[in-house]
Amino acid sequence: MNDQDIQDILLRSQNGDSIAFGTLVSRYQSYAFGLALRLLHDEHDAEDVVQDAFIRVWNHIGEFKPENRFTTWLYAIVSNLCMDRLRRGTRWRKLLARESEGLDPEGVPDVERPEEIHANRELVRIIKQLVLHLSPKQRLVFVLRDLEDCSVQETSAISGMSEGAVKSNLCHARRHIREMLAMTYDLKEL
Amino acid sequence: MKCADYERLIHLSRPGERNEREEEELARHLRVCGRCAQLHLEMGRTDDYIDGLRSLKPALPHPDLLTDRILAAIAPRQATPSRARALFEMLHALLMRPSVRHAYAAAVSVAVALFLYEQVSLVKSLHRLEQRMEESVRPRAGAAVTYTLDSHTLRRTGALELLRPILDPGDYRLRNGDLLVRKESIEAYTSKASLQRLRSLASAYGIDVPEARIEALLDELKGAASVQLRLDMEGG
Repeated sequence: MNDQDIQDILLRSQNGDSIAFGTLVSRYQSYAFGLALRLLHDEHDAEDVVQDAFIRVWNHIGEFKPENRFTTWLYAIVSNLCMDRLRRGTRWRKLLARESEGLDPEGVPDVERPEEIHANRELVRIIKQLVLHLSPKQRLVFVLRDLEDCSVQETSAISGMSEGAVKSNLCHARRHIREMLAMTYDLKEL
Repeated sequence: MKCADYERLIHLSRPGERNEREEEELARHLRVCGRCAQLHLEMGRTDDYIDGLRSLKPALPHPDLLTDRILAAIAPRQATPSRARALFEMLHALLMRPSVRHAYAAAVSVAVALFLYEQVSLVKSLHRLEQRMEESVRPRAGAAVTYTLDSHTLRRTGALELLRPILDPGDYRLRNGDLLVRKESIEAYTSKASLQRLRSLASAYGIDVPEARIEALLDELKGAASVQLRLDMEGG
């Protein structure tokens, strides 16, 4: 699917074509899910955010300007929703509740896709350890820039921070992660 | 710059994060500062670790189910419409309200009733008009009705002079060759005596008119009081 196809789908979606919008959802939902999971560390929360994000996209798709990148707009919406959740702390309260009850934080394993579950859990576990003590802003720029591979300019556009603020938060995040890795592994031996 | 400043640059380690001048200054500093050089090395290994982490892509558990959920959630809604579409949808929503639909039904019922009433009135008016026309055509008692006696033979032979013995001058007049006879005179002319005079007169000019034929014509003339009768004597 090239840029022109995407533009056509966006135009049709703007005209209320829900089938075209379905194509758009199929095309981008995994990217949105990846970002949400890396920020929230919970599959169910990430899916909820993706759903809310696409509903928001549908409701405001008339405001989208074709000269902008759709992924930047989508990522900004997903990021905002994730940051709202992180700020509200619902995720952490839920986690604390689960842990206090002695339950598996990831819920009952899905026997139909044990490998995916394992991969997602392992990834989540690693990222969670790395970013556990980062502020929400530091976490956001780290995930966008280092894990989603967005440029500094894109990270700035998505997060709403200036490029200077992006670099500053990125610096703090990487220093912390470097120190975390140094404590966990002997980086000299890596 | 101090080591703290270079440390910041060391952590801006991915391509495009440092400008050319910063790259050069950092390179110069790393050649002379062992601590920062060690930090730079650690950051390089951290970058490698993060690169590996970046390559791990989270897998969406049930993509189709999530798509269905999203589409189900947006189905009852409408996308941001164009202005014309928004206007159309607003009007549509307004016109489809129950109260407006009931008003439609009432308006249509009244329109249909008015139309039917108008049609019935028209039919009644036409009927009355027909009755009036019929009454105007139907001869009233004592009214003067004129009949036309058309005959090429009469015209050819100078009918006026020949008919004078049987027609009083005030009972007829000639128009475009037709003989117009007053109704009151018809009664007198349809008598037996008048019949015989007419027949004799016709015979004198070589026209043989059977008596039965003349009687039939006169009966027809008397019976058809409301229509114009053309009596063609030429055909006998």
